[in-house]
Parts: sequence; C-alpha cells; structure tokens
Amino acid sequence: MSRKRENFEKNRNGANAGLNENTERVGKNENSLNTGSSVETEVANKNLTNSGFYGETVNPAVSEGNFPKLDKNAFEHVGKNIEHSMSIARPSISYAQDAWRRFRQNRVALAGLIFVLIMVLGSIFVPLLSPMPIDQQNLEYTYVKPMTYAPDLNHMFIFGTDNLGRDLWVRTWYGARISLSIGILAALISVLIGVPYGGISGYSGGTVDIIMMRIVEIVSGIPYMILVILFLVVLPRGYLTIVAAMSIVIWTSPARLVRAQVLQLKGQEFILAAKTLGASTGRIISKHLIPNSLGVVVIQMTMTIPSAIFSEAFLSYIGIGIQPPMASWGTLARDGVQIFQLNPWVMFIPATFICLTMLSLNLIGDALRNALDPKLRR
Amino acid sequence: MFRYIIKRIIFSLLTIWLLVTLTFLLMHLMPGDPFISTKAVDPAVREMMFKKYGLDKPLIVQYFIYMGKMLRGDLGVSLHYKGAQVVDRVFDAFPYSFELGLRSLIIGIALGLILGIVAAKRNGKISDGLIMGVAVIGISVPSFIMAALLNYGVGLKFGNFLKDIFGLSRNPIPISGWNSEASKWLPAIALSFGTLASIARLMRASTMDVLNADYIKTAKAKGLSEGQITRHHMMRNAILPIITILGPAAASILTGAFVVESVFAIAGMGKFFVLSIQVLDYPMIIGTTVIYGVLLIVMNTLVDIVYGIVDPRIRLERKGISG
Repeated sequence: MSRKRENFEKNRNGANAGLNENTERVGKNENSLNTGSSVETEVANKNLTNSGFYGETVNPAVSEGNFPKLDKNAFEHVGKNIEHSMSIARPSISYAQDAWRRFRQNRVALAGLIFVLIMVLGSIFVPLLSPMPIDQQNLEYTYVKPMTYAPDLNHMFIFGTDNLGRDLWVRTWYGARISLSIGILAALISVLIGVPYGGISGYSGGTVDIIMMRIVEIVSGIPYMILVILFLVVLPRGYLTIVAAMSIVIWTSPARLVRAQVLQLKGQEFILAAKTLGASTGRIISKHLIPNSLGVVVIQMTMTIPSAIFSEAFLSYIGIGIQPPMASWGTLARDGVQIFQLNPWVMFIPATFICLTMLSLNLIGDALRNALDPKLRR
Repeated sequence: MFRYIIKRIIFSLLTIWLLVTLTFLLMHLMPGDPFISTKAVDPAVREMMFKKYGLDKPLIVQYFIYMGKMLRGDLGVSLHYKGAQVVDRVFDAFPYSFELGLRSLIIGIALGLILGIVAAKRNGKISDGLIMGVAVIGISVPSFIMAALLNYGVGLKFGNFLKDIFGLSRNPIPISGWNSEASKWLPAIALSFGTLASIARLMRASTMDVLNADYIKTAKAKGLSEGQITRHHMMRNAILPIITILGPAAASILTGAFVVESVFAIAGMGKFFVLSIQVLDYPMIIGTTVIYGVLLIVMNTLVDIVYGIVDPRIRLERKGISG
C-alpha cells in the first residue's frame, strides 16, 4: 500500500472518530518510522460526510446509518496549516543513534557495558600504575589473604598473593589485559577475513559462490577446539599462536552470515534502483550492501568475543595456552585450582572476573541483537 | 533424500581428510627433527635412524605411508607409556568418558527442554526471568570453574555438612572416582550446565514462536487440556531446532570433559589427554586429537542427516543454496 493511500485510510478512520466525539481537530496521523519524523495533518470537519481527504467520497449511506445527524453550523472551517503539516517534529536520527536508543532501554545490558568498560580501563591502567611488577616474587608473603598489608614493602596486597608471593591484584588485571585483548583481536581478525569473503561469495554468485562456500563448509566441519589444540601443540605456544589458531576457524561464521545477508539484499528493489541509476559495483557494495550487513557483523563480533575469551581461558587452564611468566585469567584459575581447598580466593578471584565478563558480554550481545536486528524484535 | 545423505557423508569424509592432512603437515612444519636433542650423533647413525623411521623418503611418500597407517587405525606408539599403542590406550579410557558424556547429555537435554518450555509459557513472569537468569549464568560460567565450584562447594562442604548432621561415617557425596552410582552424578551435572543453558534458551525462543500459532488456538478450541496441547502440539513443533544444537553440545561436552574428568579424577579420555599434554607425549596428543576430531565430525554429520530427515525444509534449503 502506498504511503498516500495509507494516510488516507487513517484520516478517514480518524475523521469518523472525530465526528463521534464532536471535536474540531481530527485525523491526527502520527507516523513514527525509523526516521523518527512525525507528520501531522489537519482536516477541516465541514462537509465530512461527502468528501474524504483526497477528494474521494466516503459512502454517505454508511456515515448516515452509523452516526446521529449533527448541526453543521457547530463546525468551522479552519483551513490547512501547510507550515505545520510540513514540519518534522522530531530530529531525524541515524541507524547508530536508533540502535543506541534501543540498547539504552535495556538496563541490565547497560550495566554489563559499564562493567566491560571498567574491565578495559582497569586492564590498561592498573598494571601501568601499580608499584608492584607482575612477576615480582615476595617469598616471605606466599598465599597471604586479600587486603593484607606488607609493612616492609609498604604495599597492600588487595587480592592477596599466590604461591610465589606475587601480587594477585596486579596479576589479575594483567590477566584481564591478555584475556580481553585475545578476545577482541580474534573477533576482529575473523571479521576482517570473513566479511570480505562472504561478501565476495554472495555478490558473485554462481560457480565462485559454490566453490567458496564448499571451502567454508569443509573448514567449519573441523571441530573448533580440536583444531586450535592441534595448532597449539605443534606450533610454539603463546599469545600470537592462540589468536592465529582461533581466527583460522572462527572466520567461517561471519563469512556465512554476510553471504546470506548479501544474497538477500542483492535481489531487493533499492539495489536494482541503484543499478538502474548507473551506480558502479563498488558504490553498491560500499554504500548499500556493507551498511545494511553491518548490524549482523556487529552482533556476530559481540558474540565471538566471549567465546574467544572462553576458549583462551580453557586452553590456558589445560596448560597449552598462555605460558608463564605471562598470566591470563585461565592460567590464574589453573594455579588457583591446585590449592582451592586451602586458599579458595586464589581461584575464586580470576573465576569471578571470567564469569562476570562473560556474563556482561553475553548480555550486551543479546541486547545488541535486539537493538540492531529489527527482524528479531518482539 | 538419498542424495542429501550421500552428500553429507562425502562432505564429512572430505573434512576428516582435511583434518588428517593438516595434522601431517603441521607435524612436518615443526622446526628441527626428532633427533635434534640427542647429543653428538654420528652422521651414519643419524642416517640409520632416519631410514628406520622412514624420514629419508620424500614428503609425499611419507604422506601416503602416514595415510595408510591412519586408515588401518594405527596412530603410533606412546612416548610416555613405553610401547603402548595410542589406539589401545584411548579405547581403554573411552567407556568412562562415554558414560559421563551420555549422562550429562541426558541431564542437559531433559532439564533444558523443561526449563525452556516453562519459561516460554510464563513469559514475562518472575519464573521466566529466574530461569533465563540461570541460563545466562550457565553459558557464562566456564566448565572448569563450574567443576571446581561443585567439587568444592557441593561435594566437599555440603557433603561434610550432611555427614555431620546425619552422623554418617563418611561423606555421602563422593568427590572423585567413577565407581559408585553416587560418584557419577556430580561430574555429570558439572558437565551438563552449558548444554542445559543453551538448550533452555533455544527452547524458550522456539516455543515462543509456536505459542500463538493458529493450530494451538485450534487445539484449544477443540477443548484439549493444557498438558495435551503442550505435549502434542507445542513441543513437537518447537523441538525441531534443538536438533541443530546437539552437534555443538556434543563438542562442548567432549572438550568440557577434559577438565571435569581432571577435577573429579575420572580415568577417562579427557583426563588422559590433559595428562599427555603435560608430559608432551606428542604421538598420544596427535592421535587423541585426531580421534576426537573424527568422533565430532561423525556426530555432526549424523545430526545433519537426522535434521534433514525430520525437517524436509532443511534438505530443500540446502539444495537451494548450494546448487
């Protein structure tokens, strides 16, 4: 149904209602679409029975049959207020602003976002500003409880110390740095590989698409964890190997998503219109296809980050991830679990950090999906 | 239908081939050679050793020998357990892991389905919020933390608490081993948590989809009871997407078992695998990884085929996409 026709229908209904209530202004038609603009139309009430908004005739029999007769002198023609009806009441907002507005409404996710921001800032600044280096051993202070003050070092062990007397406060924040950066890096790399791959595959179609998707199917058929473990066992273990091993497997899911999105968009009218108007392939991809697939990619990224953090923690926990003297949440939990029954906090602190971060990221992911993907809104 | 199944099987064989080839290539990309740490070897001896292990042959010949061994199920000899075949060791440990995995899969699916349906039917009420809260926590807490918490909190503390209260001679909740029935539940629960949470979330979403469908209204209009509608109309339609999650669920249970078996001291494949990693038993690690990989690929293919049989739309859609 065209916009005009829609307005007309709404106005006619409004006009009938107005007649019932005997009010002067009828046909208030608020049209709050994604642009946030609202159109207000005023209609004169005179001659309502035989003229619609666009000059079409409302069936008098229906009107007369349903409503009591009114004195037409009770109404006054107010005319059209062109200026008022043309004005846009609310400012137009961009896609990102709209998404943010929707995201903000979810209080739990907002709390999660704040928590993650604190984590990021803490992981950057706490190891920088702390007087205690991450690997300094204080052998006279092994396994001290949290909030212990060491007078000879003039240092407060906020989270206590581990088996070598290393300060767990600094180590936990340093671990946050490693864990978070691995998560973000793995998600970023997989998107950087997957998005162009899926885009090319979807846009080209035909044989290229079939071959590219066959490759994706075979690669993603190999169990993710198994492949990462294989890489880590064979190659020198460390930060970069973990990121590389993860990215090699994860990129297939953004590739699939973007391909599906591009395939769907490719056939739509606005792309056809752009083509008809003479837009180049590059312009169609950069101005139409990519912005429209962005939502899916952002959702995918927020979902990938927690799973990458999780994988890193798991790998470090079984001993093939981050190697000492570096520390991540996984290695800290691994150190802690060995003396869990005697000094539970050594395990408990990194475990809490992992769980809360994962929880926050999952909540942010859910909220973002609701905010960015209109199809999933309920 | 037949074509679809054949296609899936061919794909899984290709994937297995890729995994095995990748393993071979990675092994040979490693810098150095197996005798690099042996001090001052006589070049002649070195040559003999290379000949013995077939390392003097060109890479492609080595590859075919390796593939032949793989096809015969020969994964080499363990370094740590001198002279033991990798395959034998793995299959000794397999029954424990299989039982643990099966138990946790059953717990996860059963509880996940029930919680998901309840949450969807009470959409917006407190119980819905509670269940979904538990589910989000379930997917946020890694299995190694869950295992340690249950082992310590429930097994040790709560068990000892029960022992004191009822004046028992020993802790009624065993925290390690795999012999009595009682010792098998705690690890299974620890392992099932992630699966439970993701199934509950998915089931809630898919139940919500069918909740207001016309056929549910029809069933209500016919005068069927709430239970009948839930069992025969809602569940049967809502349960379909759950099948897709079974592949990843199997994977998460398999890898989760690495740590759960270690924490609860169960002599399964997972504990064994972690141990081999710690003692750098390379043939063992590679062999176990390949077995795990093949197991998961077979499982995923089965899930795909079952889903294709149950839901004809998938079959057709796949055909539409991949030509």
